[in-house]
Amino acid sequence: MMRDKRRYILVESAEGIAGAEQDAFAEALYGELLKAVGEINYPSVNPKIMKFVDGKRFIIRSSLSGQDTLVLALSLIKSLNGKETAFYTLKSSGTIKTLDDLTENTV
Amino acid sequence: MEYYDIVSETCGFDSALAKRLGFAEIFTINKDVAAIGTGHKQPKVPGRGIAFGRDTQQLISLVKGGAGAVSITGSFIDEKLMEAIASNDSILCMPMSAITASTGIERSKNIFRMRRLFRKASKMKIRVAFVSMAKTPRHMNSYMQLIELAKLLGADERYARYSISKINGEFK
Repeated sequence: MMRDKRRYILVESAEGIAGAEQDAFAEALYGELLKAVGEINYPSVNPKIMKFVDGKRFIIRSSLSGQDTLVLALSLIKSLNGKETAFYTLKSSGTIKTLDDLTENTV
Repeated sequence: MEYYDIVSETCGFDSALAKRLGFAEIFTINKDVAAIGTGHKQPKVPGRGIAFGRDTQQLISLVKGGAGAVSITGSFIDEKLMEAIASNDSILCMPMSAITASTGIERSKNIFRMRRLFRKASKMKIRVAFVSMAKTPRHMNSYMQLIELAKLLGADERYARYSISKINGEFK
């Protein structure tokens, strides 16, 4: 069976993400992504937050073919849970380790 | 490849953010790039500048007078203006904040109009600059996002990268 190829994107949020709110933040972000991408395209993007790097940055995973759509969708999301925000895609990579190394060097 | 962006004079971003977003430089209107046209009668900085406004006749005279670029508000298509832009080798600025700052059906309408404008500009061989023209840091984008927004309007990846790098770089 062939494995799906994936991409990992380092994303910065304009607003801080409190540690206790990470699960709620993830759910709200998936909801907004669903709205931006649409129900038909959402499965082909298959986004999943892999980890929170710090209070503003997180790593999100998508399928290789859905990367462009995810980057575009993140640029269209301007509010989350009724609060104004923005998401900047800083870097993308084929492995999470590359982004881990990058964030360790920039902390 | 180095990427450049242009933001509104009210944006007020910090330079560290510009670096994180992957841009070599982000130009600010009326600080790094001259704004001419309605409400900007006297350019604050030298250079060919970007013409703004809704008055087509005024935009045509600004283009003929040497404006380096035109930012069309409302994304309407005026044949004479487009011909003036093409014959004077001016640049057509596509402000992405029209897409990112709007929501719902208004966003869809803006995407439709800007796609049509880009298609027309491409046919007339007008150089198009995809810029965020963000009024606040919330409406800024990374270079990756700007490329995807350009692709949303019908540009292929190669032209999107060329535009954000070379054409936007001409405002330096």
